[in-house]
Amino acid sequence: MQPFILAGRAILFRLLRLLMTITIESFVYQKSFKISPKQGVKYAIIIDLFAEVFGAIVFTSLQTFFPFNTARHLIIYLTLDDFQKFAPDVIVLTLFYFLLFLLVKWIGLLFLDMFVFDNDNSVSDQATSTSNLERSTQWGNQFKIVTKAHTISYTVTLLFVLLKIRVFYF
Amino acid sequence: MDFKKNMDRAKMMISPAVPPRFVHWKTLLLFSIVIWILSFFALDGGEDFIAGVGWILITISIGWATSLPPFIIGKLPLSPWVIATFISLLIYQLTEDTDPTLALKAWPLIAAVFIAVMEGFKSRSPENSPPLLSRTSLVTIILIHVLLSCWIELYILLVQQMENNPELNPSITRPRSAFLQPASSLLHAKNHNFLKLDEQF
Repeated sequence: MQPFILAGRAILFRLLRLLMTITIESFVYQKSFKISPKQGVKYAIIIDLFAEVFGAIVFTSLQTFFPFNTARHLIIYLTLDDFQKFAPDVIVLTLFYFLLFLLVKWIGLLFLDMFVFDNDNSVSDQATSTSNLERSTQWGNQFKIVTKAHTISYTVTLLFVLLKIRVFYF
Repeated sequence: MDFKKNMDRAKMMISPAVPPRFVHWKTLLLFSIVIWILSFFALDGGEDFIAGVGWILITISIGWATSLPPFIIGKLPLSPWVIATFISLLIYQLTEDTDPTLALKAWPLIAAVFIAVMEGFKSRSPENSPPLLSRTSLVTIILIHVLLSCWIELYILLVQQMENNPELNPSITRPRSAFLQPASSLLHAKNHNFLKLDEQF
C-alpha cells in the first residue's frame, strides 16, 4: 500500500477516534455535571480538541528527539495502530499517553471554566450550565469526572483499535 | 451612430468594474492590476517587489469583497479563508525551494488568526457590529484550525518517514499471506519478518 494512502488512513482513523471520544465524553459530562446534551457536547468538543492538539504537538516533537528504534515504535503504535507485539515500550507509551491526555483534559476543563464559560453568558443555557458547573468547581471533583470520562473513552477507543487491527491487518 | 453605439457598449462592459466610490474593494483591485502591469516594465530586481505589492493589494481587495454578501454563509464571511489562501500562495512562492509544505501547514493557522482578529475587532464595538460567534464557538473554531494544521504536519511526517524507512510500512514488512493468517499465529510467530526487524536495527 502506498505511504500516502496509509498516512491518510491513519489521519482518518484519528478523526474517527476523536469523534468517538467526543460522543462518549459528552454523555459522561452531561450526566456528571447535570447539563444539557448540547452543553455536554460543547464541553467534550473543546476539551478533546485541546487534548488532540496537545497530543499532536507532543508526538511531532518527541519523534524528532527519540532514537530511531523508539521513534519507529512510536509512529507504528500511535499513528498506524499496528502493534503486533506487546513490547514494553508499547505498554509504557499507552500508559504515558493515557496519563498525558488525562492531565491535558483536566487542564482543558479548568481553562474552559476560567476563560470560556465565565465570559460567555450571552446564551441562556450557557449561563445555566455555568451555574451547574460552579456546583462542582472543586478541583478534586472535576478531576474525578474527567478521569471517569477519559477512562471510559480511552478503553472504548483501545478496543476499537484492537478491532481495527483485526479487520485491517489480518 | 456606430461610434455612439460602440461607446455605449464599452460603457456597459466597463461599468461593473468601476468602483462606486473611492474607498471600495474594486479600487484596490484596479490598483493591483495596474501595479501588476507595471511590474512587467520594472527594472531588474524590482519586478518581484512590485508584483508582491500587487499581490498584497489583490489579497486585501478580494478579502474585502468576500466579507460582504453574498459571500456570507450563515453568519460567517468567507474572507478569513480566502485571505489565508492568498497569503499561503505568497508563502509558497517564497519558500518553494526551502520548505514546500510550509504554506499548506500555515493555511489553517492564518485563517484562525484572521477569524480571531475579526472577532476581536467586533467585540471592541459591540453596539456597531455585534460579535458573530459566542466565545465557546470561537474557541472551538480556532482549535479545529490548529488541529487541522497539526494533522497536515502529521500526514507529511508519516509519508516522509514511510518513504525514508520502508520497514515502517506494514504492507511491505509483512508478506501477503500474513493477511490470511489468524491473529494468534502471528503474535506467536518467531520467524516473522516484522518481528525480526527489531533485531536487525
